[in-house]
Amino acid sequence: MFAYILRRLLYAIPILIGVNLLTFALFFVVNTPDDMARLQLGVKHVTPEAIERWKAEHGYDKPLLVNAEAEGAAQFTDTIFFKHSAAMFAFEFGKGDDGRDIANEIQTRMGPSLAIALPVFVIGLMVNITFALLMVFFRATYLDLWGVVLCVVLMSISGLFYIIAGQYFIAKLWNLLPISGFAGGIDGLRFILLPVLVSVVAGLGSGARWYRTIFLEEIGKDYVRTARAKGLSEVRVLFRHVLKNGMIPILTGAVVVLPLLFMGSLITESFFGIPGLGSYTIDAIQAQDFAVVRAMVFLGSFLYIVGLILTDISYSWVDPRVRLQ
Amino acid sequence: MDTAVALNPRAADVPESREPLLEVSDFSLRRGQAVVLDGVNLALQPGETLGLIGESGAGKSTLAMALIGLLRAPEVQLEGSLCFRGTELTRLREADYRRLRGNKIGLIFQDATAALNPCFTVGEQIAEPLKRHLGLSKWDRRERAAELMHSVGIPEPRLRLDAYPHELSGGMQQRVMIAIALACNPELLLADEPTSALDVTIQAQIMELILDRVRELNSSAIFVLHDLALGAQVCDRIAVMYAGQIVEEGPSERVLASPLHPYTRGLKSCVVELGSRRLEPIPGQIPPLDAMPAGCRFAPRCPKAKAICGEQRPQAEIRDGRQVACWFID
Repeated sequence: MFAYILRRLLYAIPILIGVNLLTFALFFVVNTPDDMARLQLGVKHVTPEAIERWKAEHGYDKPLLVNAEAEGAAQFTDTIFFKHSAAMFAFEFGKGDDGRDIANEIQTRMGPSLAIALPVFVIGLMVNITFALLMVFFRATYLDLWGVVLCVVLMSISGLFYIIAGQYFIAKLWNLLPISGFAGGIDGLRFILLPVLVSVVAGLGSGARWYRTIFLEEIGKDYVRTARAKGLSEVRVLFRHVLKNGMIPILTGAVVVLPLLFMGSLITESFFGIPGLGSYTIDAIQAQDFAVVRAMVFLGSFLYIVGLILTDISYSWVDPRVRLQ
Repeated sequence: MDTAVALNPRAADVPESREPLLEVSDFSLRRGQAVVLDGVNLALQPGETLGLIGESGAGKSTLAMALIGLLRAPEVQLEGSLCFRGTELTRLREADYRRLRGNKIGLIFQDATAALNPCFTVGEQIAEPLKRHLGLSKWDRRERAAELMHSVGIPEPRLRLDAYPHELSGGMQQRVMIAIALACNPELLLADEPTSALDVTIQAQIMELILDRVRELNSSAIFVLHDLALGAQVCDRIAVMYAGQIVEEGPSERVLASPLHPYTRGLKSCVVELGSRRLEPIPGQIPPLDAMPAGCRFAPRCPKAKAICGEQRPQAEIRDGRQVACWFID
């Protein structure tokens, strides 16, 4: 088990280097270090000397990938890519181009992100499973049919619509909850309710429909017939035998996003003014703050890889047939 | 084995008269337009074993599923009567049927690997009917499950209680399946091709085990088989099915020794016998359900078929202590 995890973590290194290289390439295809300096210094009244100075201060005065003037290994190490990427693997993100410490920002913004993402994950999972099981219980009836129709309608509507509709009706028209904002502690509850509600509803359609398919596939299997032949009631067959087997693909599918919950949601956080990592990333992209974008992409890919490893481990927990080697 | 006696309330109320345990009369099962089972008549005495023989698609498994009530309206339409211990099964409420299933009627499936739930230990799965029907406490269920595992020949049952199905061999899995079916000492055991998924060497062991257990519990059993010779060997009576009908039914030795129906004869000559150099397969196959012949369903494949066979359905006649449905019984 330990050897397995270690091996998987070693595999992660080439993946992360690749991700870094790709982010780097994409960012500098549309940007030059000169553009970045101009944007940070203010577009008007910038002298070439000021730009050079900013670049030197922030470490953008080297060639991008290959330094032809240097000797030996320094050809590759004395470049913008290497100077800015190597430290990442020690999780040292440095400062953003606006001068603030990225690691510090991540620490303070993680809480608000989790405050939204964690309830959405847990409540969403329970709501989706319950709704799917209800549809399966009433399978091949009109209730099931209309449940599926509702799911398709829900998943066909853009996520932005739920946010705007939720803010318009619940916050503006009926005045039940604040439109946006965030506060710490128990006070923050009223700010959290609306984004959580909206996110759960937005995810219901695709989630419940997928889980319904999983449960329907299970219910056709032989062991379900055995359970019925024991004289068990349909509810017990469904909630004991089918649910436990259906949970294998559902849980392992859900576990992969678990670490990514720290990153928050880009759109929800921006719309509801949550000072989390999602809105931090969006703001950084708008400000063309490469240091922050790169740090967030790196963190995201790392957490995703952790999620994949957790998925494999969770398989061995929920499915007695799976053993890790 | 004090518990085992206490758990077997039947010892007191075994019917004195020779009332049949199960009586199937004029039973038909339709799936939409298709007549899957057509006018089946059967009677099973307490303690008797019956073999349902026929090729794939003859309706043997369907009959077993209908008997245990896993095939019912609205999925299919039932006609005629299934009478079990004086209870009419076709009109039984689902909740009452559930009280019989796994309790008075047990069912063994063909493929134990698929029929056992991969996520529960075998101990839990054997204990389930004990909880449902006998209401045993957790501790008693575990004790009884271990006893049952021992009785079906699983070595070291206490260690195996917490094993998952995939940790056992195919033969052991089928033994677990048998333990589940017999957990509540059923009066009727249905075994749907219980050995088809197993190695030949294990097949005989499992068959012998089921017969032993059935005899010990004084239960009746219906075996669904496709092998006429095996059926005749292990069962008191044999019912040969073809395309949803029983074509010949009677005591095993007589049916095997002198089959009256042409289909039974065909089945018999399909079996490889020592010394014979040729197999005689029955030409053709069972017609699809939506294209059944109007008369005798076997007529298109029958070597003896005459004009009347294609036009009118032969009624079952009692001949030589058995029922046969054919226009030309010699």
